[in-house]
Amino acid sequence: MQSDNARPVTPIGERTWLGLGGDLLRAPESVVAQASDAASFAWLAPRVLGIALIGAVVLGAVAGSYRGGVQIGFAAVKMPLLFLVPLVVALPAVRAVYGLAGVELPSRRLALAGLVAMARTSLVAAAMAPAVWLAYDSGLGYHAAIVALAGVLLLAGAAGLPSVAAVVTGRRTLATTAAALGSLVVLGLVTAQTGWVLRPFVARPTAEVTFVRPIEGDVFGSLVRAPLAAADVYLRYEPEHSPWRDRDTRDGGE
Amino acid sequence: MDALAMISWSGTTLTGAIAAGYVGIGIGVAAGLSRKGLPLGTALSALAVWPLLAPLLAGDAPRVRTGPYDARIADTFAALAAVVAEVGDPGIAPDGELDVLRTALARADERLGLVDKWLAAGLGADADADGPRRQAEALRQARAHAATEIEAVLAGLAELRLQIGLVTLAGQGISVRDQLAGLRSRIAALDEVSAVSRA
Repeated sequence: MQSDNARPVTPIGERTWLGLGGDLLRAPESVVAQASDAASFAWLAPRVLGIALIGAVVLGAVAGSYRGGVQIGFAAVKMPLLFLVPLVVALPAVRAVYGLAGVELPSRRLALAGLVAMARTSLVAAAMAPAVWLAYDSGLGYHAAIVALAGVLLLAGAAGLPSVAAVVTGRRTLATTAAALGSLVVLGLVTAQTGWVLRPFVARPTAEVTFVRPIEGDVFGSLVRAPLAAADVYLRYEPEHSPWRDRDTRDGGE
Repeated sequence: MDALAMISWSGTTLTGAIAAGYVGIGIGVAAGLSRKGLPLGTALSALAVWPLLAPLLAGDAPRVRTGPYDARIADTFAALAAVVAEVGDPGIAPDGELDVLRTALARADERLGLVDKWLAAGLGADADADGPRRQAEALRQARAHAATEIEAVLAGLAELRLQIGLVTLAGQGISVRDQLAGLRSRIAALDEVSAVSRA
C-alpha cells in the first residue's frame, strides 16, 4: 500500500546496498525509524557500518596519496578509526545531553542514529574525495592540502552529523534543538581531536612515514597554524606539553 | 612499591592496552550475539562497535519475520509514523503503543507465513481419512480468518491516519488512543486463539 505522506519502505531483507546508501543520503530519518524493531536493527547495523567504513577507506586512501607509498595504506586504515572512535566515545555524552533536555533515548535508536550519521558523513566525504585527489595531483602545497582535507571533513560532518537529531521523534522544542546542537558540538570536538591524535593523514612528501606521530599540542592550534602557513605566515611554534609526553620524559619512555 | 609503577606506562603501552581491552570485549560481545543466532555480519560488527550492539544481547534473539503481509505492515507503520511526526505531538500515538501493535501484527503475519508454507507443501492435500481432511480444512479456514483480521487491522491503521488528521485540524473524531486500543484487542484476539489452539 503506497503512502501519501512517506516514501514506501522496502522490507528489510530485500534492500540492496545501493538502495540503503540512497536512503542514507536522501532520507536518513526513515533508516533510523527502523531501530524500533530489533530484527531490523540487527540487519541494518552491520550494513550501515560497512557503508561508513568503505567511504572512510576511500577518503583515507586519497588523503594518503598526497605522499604516496605506504602512507596510502596507513591513512586508509586510520580514517575509519576517525569515524568510529568519536561514535563510540561520544554517544554516551550525547545521551546525557538529551537527558538534560528531558528526552529519554532508546539505546537502539540512538545507536542506529549514530551509525547513520557516521555513514552519511562518510558517503559525502567519499563523494568529495575525487575532487581532493585532483587538487593533490595538481601540486597543492602541504599546508593547503591539510586545509583541503579539513574542509572536506567539515563539510561532510555538517551534512552527516545532524542526522543524529533524527533520534528524536515528534515536534522540535527549544530543549531538543539545544540538545541537538550540543550533541553536534560534542561529536565535532571529539572527531576533531581524534583526527589530531591519529595524524598524519596527509604527510609531507619528504617526511619519514610514521603510523602516528607523538601528541604535540592539539587540533585547534593546528587549525589556526595550517591556514596561516598555507599563506606563508608562520607563528613561533612551541609544542605544548601533553600529560603523556611529560610522563614519558619522567619515566624515560619513548 | 606501587605495583603499577613496575609497569612502564608509556603512551604506546596504554594505547595498546586500551585497544586490546576494547577488541577483547568486542570478541565477547560478538560471541554472545552469534550464540543468540544473529547473522554473522551483525556479530562481526561488534568487533568494531560493540557498545552500540550490546543492547541486542538482552531479550530474545530477534528474527526477521516473513509473512505475506510483511511489506504492507512496514509500509503502513512508516506512513503512520510520518503522519505522527508531522503532527508533532508524540502523545497522540506514542511510539510504545505503536511498537506493541506492530510486534503483535508481525507475529500474526509470521504464523500466517508458516501456515502458507505448510499448505503450499501439500499439508492435508492427500489426506484420505475424514479426520485429517477435516483438520486440513479447518486449518485453511483458520488461515483465512487470520488473514481477514490482519487485513482489517491494516485498514484500521490507514483510517487512523485520517483520524489523526481530523483530531489535529478540527478536534473531532474518535480518540486516536481508543482506536489504537481497539486495533490492539482485535489482533490480541488472534494471539489468544493461537494460544488456545496450542494448549
